[in-house]
Amino acid sequence: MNYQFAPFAQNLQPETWPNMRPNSLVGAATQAAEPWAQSTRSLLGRSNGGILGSLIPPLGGILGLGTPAPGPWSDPQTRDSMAWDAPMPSARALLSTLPASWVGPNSGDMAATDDEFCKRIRNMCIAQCSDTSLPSGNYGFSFWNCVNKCLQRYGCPTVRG
Amino acid sequence: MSREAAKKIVDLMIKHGAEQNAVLAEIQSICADHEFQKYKRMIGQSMGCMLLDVINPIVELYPDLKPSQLE
Repeated sequence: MNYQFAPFAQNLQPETWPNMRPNSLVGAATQAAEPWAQSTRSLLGRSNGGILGSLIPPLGGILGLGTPAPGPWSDPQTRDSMAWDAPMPSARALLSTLPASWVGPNSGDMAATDDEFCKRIRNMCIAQCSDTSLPSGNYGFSFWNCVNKCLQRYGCPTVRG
Repeated sequence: MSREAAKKIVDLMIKHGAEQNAVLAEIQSICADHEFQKYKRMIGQSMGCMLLDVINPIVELYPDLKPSQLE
């Protein structure tokens, strides 16, 4: 049997991959033809390249197209100026940026997610504060303050409801 | 809920919280570390419920009943 292989270079073009759609996550420079692509891009806060775009040059490298371009790693100044320790947006903030079509026509889906999120945060805060603030020298108020502050830090209500 | 009733409940929670905290401090010296950690988590659950299910909702209703030590 005689197999026909495409030229090697052609296989490196993501557009020729049968089940792949170019998107902002793989760092390929694509035109945002669909709303989801634009939403994803704005959600991830990258104008060109998405999450992996910050790691992979948009027009080069293993997943890129055309001539390899120098990556951010090669330039120490660029590398060190990247905000590696910048605060991450909270899960709640990321959820609120999703298009309505992703979370359902009403807020029910979001509310369920929110409840589940805060339930986990509550358990985590209580466990964490038990470890760090019990027993306390002020009748247990350190523990209660710790739990309240922890919940507020994650944007969760301090009243179970 | 009347303010008077709410105050009695908050006082009760503070008293119970203080007792649980005190017993935890008392048993620390007679417990193995891993055992004490477990008791801390148990008491934490109990005191956490008192805070989130009783004290905070009442304080939301009657802010003046907020204990001075509660931030």
